Amino acid sequence: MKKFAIAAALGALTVSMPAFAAGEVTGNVTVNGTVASKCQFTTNSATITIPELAGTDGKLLASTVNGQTATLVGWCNKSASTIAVNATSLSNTSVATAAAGFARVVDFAATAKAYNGTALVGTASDANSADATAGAAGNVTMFRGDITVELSAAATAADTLLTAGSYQGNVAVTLTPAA
Amino acid sequence: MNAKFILAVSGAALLAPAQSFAATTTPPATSVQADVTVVGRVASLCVLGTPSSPQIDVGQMAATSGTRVGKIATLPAQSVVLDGSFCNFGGTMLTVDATALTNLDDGGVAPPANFARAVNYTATASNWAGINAAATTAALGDGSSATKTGLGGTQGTPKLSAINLEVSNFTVPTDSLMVSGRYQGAVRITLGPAGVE
Amino acid sequence: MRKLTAMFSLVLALGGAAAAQAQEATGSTTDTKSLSVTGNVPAMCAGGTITSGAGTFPLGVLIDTTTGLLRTDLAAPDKVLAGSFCSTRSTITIGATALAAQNFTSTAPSGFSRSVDYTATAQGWTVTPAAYTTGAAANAAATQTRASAFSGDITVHIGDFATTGGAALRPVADNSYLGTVTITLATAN
Repeated sequence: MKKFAIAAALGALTVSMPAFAAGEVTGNVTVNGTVASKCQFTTNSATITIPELAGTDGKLLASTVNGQTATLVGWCNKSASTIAVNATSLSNTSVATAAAGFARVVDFAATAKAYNGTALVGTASDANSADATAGAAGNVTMFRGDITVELSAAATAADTLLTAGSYQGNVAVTLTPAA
Repeated sequence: MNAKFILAVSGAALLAPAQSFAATTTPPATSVQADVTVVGRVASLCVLGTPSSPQIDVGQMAATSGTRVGKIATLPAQSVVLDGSFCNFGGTMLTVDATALTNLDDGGVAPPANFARAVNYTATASNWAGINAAATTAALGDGSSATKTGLGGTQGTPKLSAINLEVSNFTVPTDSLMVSGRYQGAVRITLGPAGVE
Repeated sequence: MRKLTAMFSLVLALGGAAAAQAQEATGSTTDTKSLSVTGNVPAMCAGGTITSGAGTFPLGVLIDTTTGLLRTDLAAPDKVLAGSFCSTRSTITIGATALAAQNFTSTAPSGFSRSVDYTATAQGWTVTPAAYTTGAAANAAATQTRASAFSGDITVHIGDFATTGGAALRPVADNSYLGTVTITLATAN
């Protein structure tokens, strides 16, 4: 009898239908975004204060400068960003011209080290604070953390006496994001 | 009997495929800079160099013959150098305090008539500022009023120099005869800010 | 949407004080040095000069020409040594030699003498004058001490003339009887 065959076919069809809640439609939206390569300082300034640059003989006591440190904080979000240092010598801000036998400038070197947490991820130095040029940039992997700056190699011209007064210099640290 | 197959056609309410947004212009990679300011100080300092001799000895002072026998002879000037003296700031001066030589061996008693127990002299500290510091002692014959002070001019800029200290012009009060014995005086030289004694 | 907040903060004197020692200069803005100036004056005496005439006491004729004996009125003006000094404690010593005949040098015959004694004194240097008598057995007063430096005149006097051997002897004839008075100033410890 033919009736029985049709019922079986219907049953099979029903199963294969996807189920829908009544009245809903769903669509997919693809979201694309970009994150630009960027570096930023979250602590972008600090001061190193040296109470007395000279020893009892009136000449530069290099140990008052060497080893001085300051800490900046920043991040770069892409590896192969770079860090660079440009040091500017300490100059006497009270006296414009040094008398014979005296110096009014203290040169030094500066090194910056970037950390991702506790891991050192990049370093750069400027060996000569007397010129206006930054030292060679160093690669830095993506990081977020401290950037320590340390002074070294303090020197005056030819072992001279230091003029009394206030001195000021600078260490500029530049982060450049990877392209 | 006809079988009706009702097939619900399912269809997703297809939206237009998600558009990729036109690529937003990535901001150019911008360097950022931080500055560590380094400040220092050098304190004002004056230092006198070690004298080339710790003492000045003029030796035997009286004439032993001739018309001036027993009176002070003509004694040559003597100098001491304080090499490596410096002040690292401007506005400084030298000061000399000269004390006449007086007799060490006579118990300090007043000398007899026609005698003196003191020798006066001039102390000059030079090679610092335009005007030297000089003092000429004016002790009396009994040795009183033995010290005199002289101030030098102001040195306007820091200076490193070999300061010269000279003692000269030795005389006895009223040019009297000299009581015998050892004599001693002193010169004190001070380097420091001008206008402060 | 997360907000990115940039933090700008100033941090002063980070780490520096810990890393490097702050060297305190032990000098100051003033420095002083002292030197002693020394000398010495030797102990010495200088004899001065005789102000009154030459260095001779002129006695003239020694005898009373009627008796041939020594005159009793022999005298000569004092001599002054001016400008003597000693720069320290000193002694003055006076010495004298008798007036002796210079030509008649052999022994005088009996009843005669060839020398005349006298006393010489130096006054003005010490409280007690130094005194010396020629022919005396001892002359304790010949040396006197001055305790401190001194400058002054010394007056030398001669007197108390007496014929050596006795007043009854007659001095032999001689044009030149000569004696010497010596004054010595010496430094003393």
